[in-house]
Amino acid sequence: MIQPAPATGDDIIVGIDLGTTFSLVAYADERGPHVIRDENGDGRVPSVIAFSAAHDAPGAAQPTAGQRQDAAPPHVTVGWQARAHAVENPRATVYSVKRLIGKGLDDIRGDLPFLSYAVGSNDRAGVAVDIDGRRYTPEQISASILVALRERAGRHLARAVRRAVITVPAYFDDAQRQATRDAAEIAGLEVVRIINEPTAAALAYGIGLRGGPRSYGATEPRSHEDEGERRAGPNEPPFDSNPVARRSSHDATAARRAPAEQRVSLPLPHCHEPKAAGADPAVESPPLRHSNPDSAGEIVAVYDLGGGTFDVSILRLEGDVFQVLSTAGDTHLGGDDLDHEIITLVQREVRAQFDVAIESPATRQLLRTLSENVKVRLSDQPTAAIEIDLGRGRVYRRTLTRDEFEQLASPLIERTIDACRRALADAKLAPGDVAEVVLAGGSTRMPLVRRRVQELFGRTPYTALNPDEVVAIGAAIQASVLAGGRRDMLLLDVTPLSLGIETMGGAMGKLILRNTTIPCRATEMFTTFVDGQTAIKIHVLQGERELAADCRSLGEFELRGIPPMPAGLPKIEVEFLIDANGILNVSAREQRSGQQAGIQIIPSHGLTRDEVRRMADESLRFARQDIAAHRRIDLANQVAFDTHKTEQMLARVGDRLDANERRRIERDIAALRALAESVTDLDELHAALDRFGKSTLRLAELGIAEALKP
Amino acid sequence: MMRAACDSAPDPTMSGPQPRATLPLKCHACDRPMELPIACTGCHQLYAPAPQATHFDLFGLPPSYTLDESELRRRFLAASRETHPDRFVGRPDDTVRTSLELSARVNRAYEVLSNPLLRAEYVLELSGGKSAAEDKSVPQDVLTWALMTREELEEGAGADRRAAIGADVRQRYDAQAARIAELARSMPGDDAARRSLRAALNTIKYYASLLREI
Repeated sequence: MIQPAPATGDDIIVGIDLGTTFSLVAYADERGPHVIRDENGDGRVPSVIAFSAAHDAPGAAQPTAGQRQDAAPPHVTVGWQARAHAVENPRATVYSVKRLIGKGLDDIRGDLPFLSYAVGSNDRAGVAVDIDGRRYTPEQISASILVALRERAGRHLARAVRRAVITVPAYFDDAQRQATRDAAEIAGLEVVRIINEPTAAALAYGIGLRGGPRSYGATEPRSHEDEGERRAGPNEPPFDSNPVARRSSHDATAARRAPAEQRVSLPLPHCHEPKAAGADPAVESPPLRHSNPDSAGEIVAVYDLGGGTFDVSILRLEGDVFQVLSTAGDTHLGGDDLDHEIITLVQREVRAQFDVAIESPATRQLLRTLSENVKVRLSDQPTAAIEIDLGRGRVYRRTLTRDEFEQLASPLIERTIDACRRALADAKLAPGDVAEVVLAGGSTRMPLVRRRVQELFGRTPYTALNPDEVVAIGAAIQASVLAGGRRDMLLLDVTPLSLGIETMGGAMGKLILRNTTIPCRATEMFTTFVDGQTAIKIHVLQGERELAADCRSLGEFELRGIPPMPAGLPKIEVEFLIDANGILNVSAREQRSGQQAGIQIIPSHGLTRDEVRRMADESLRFARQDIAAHRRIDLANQVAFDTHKTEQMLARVGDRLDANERRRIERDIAALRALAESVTDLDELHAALDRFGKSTLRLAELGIAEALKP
Repeated sequence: MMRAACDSAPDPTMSGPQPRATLPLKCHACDRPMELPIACTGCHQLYAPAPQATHFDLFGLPPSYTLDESELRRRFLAASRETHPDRFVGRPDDTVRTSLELSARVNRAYEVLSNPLLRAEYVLELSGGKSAAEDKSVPQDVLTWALMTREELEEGAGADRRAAIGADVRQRYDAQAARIAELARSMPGDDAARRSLRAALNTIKYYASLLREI
């Protein structure tokens, strides 16, 4: 275990893409942005979390004597391992938690039939995942992913990582953004900025394309002395490797993992196909370059279809200015929904053929894996075979063609195309005005997606960037901008949804229109209805619909502490300020008294500040317990190894020691083993191990001498 | 519940064209000449403008409907570079707060000034004209025409007819926009001029809403 270096004043800021299916962490240095990869060269961490009770987790420590049994945190695994064992552990493996974050139970009813884990309500309107009777908020579960990413970055950079830029879907509403920020706080990360995923992709596209001295890292000189060192070498590639090579390594990784997945997915879904001759789509379209990066501006569309969410953003790139003109999307439309189409088809056909319902949690998990495989295969091949052994000689077999799958997927993809048209209309542009279409998100590998995007915009989409990594790379670029305060680069984003308040009669009174550049603010005057009234409730909404009931409720804001006055006399000015994270801040002032009115905020969804703080504390405590548990295992292993080795040595060369020393060593072995079983103070065990090593030194030397004898 | 004006509302004490807010000529912090009234582009010191500073004041532009749009954009980007909260990460809370508020004002000012109709509306407000809520007057012939057109659309006009109506509305819209520009170009000096601009702005909203429907 690498000890993090002590924090310095200029802490690094990492960029995190917290995805529905995969998450990544990246950072930027003077050479450019880098995705942090595992030992296999894969930057992706599956956003899958497996819980297991502390006592039965392989390798986990027993609860120590002094620790309350009920306080023992369950053992949590994140990433490939959790994903690989999802079928064995369906009720305690959480995936796609991003689709739950900042949502109410009613919002996610459509997902419930596809989830293998239990989801219920939390104490208020939010959702909670139920694992073995313990309830976890989506914020806490997302925090586990963030902890894994933070640790990955910490190991790679050999220093503590405390600050991050985190990406969210552009179409995330206020509640979802707040919840993401809360998750980071629980994970012990300070969110320096929340940026929108398509905007991050545009940064990676815009910055990444510029070679030479104008490339990433070239900044406006702050002073003349340090100008030279901050400039990237003209031949330095903007990224850590070329995109095509990255794509191939990704494919190699997928192949490497395939056996592991098949091992766990019994009864096995077989998807065997002759290798199709189709070229790697990443190679098909050569990287296009700006004809002139300094020209008055270029319109770029980013089409981002991820595991669970869809966004489209229209940007104007003008030199180093990235201005988002409009954004549209659907926070509940992604690869998961495409998988659901295949799952539903298989379930329906199995029911019809065999009169069997395949809906148990383990089966749901299995079908998910199967459908995902089939979907991915159909991007490269015209057909994929499905085979499910239902037991007792019943085998469901069918071949799904790409055409069939595209028919299933088409209504969903059309929704994304409609959103593109809305975004264009909001930007007051026609498809032909778009100079480049950048693809992000793994689902954009689907030929249907590329075809439809090409048809709409009338141009081949730009695919030279790895769609899995482009968002993380953009986040790392933004992180370095924020850390260094580069003044040449300017990122102007918008709020995706109109903000308003419920007016008399249940209408939505808009205060800030969608696609307004952020930060932005609006003020509104309120007064009282009744003499002596000291509080007013304001219902804050987000959405485009005319009726408050059809919009997203962000919460009831209660203005309290209004000086008692006749009705209509108090003048309370309420300011709604959307910050650069796209998050709403509300403040109020009574104009007559000039005083800041106390506001109590009651969120409709999400966590209160106290809840976030409590969870952050718990998470820290658990982290300490995790570290302690880890160290305990290490020490226990060392004790087992050292005592066993000493016993072997005694058997071989013990006759050269006098009887007293032999007995003493035997006693020491027993004592050390007993201590390892019972000790609560790990430092004490560590010291005992050291003493044991010294007291058996002579024996060890005799053993070595014996071994060296010819 | 009472609804009142948003932040673009004119200060009630204002009447007639406002003089430009007095700007420091040199930065107090670094003594360099000021290119923008709200921040020093040399040392990045922020200068929070008075609450009653106009959208024009923020960019150091004269309060006039006629403006060079590329110059406005250049100043907007320069102001954004200085005020955007991305520049103030890790700075003291009150500095961050100032940048947030200033940046929001800059964005609003650009939104208004870069849109010819909003700019005309704003010029009218600055000159003491009435708001759309206070004066809803629209020429009678426009009202009659809009009523009949809407009826025709609702009764299910054919695609050809709809296209023809669309072209007609578009033409009226463009002509009206040109008229508004004409009226706004010289800051409305007397009540009659302000009323004509008000009515012209009210009228174009009918065309805009019809265009949205078609």
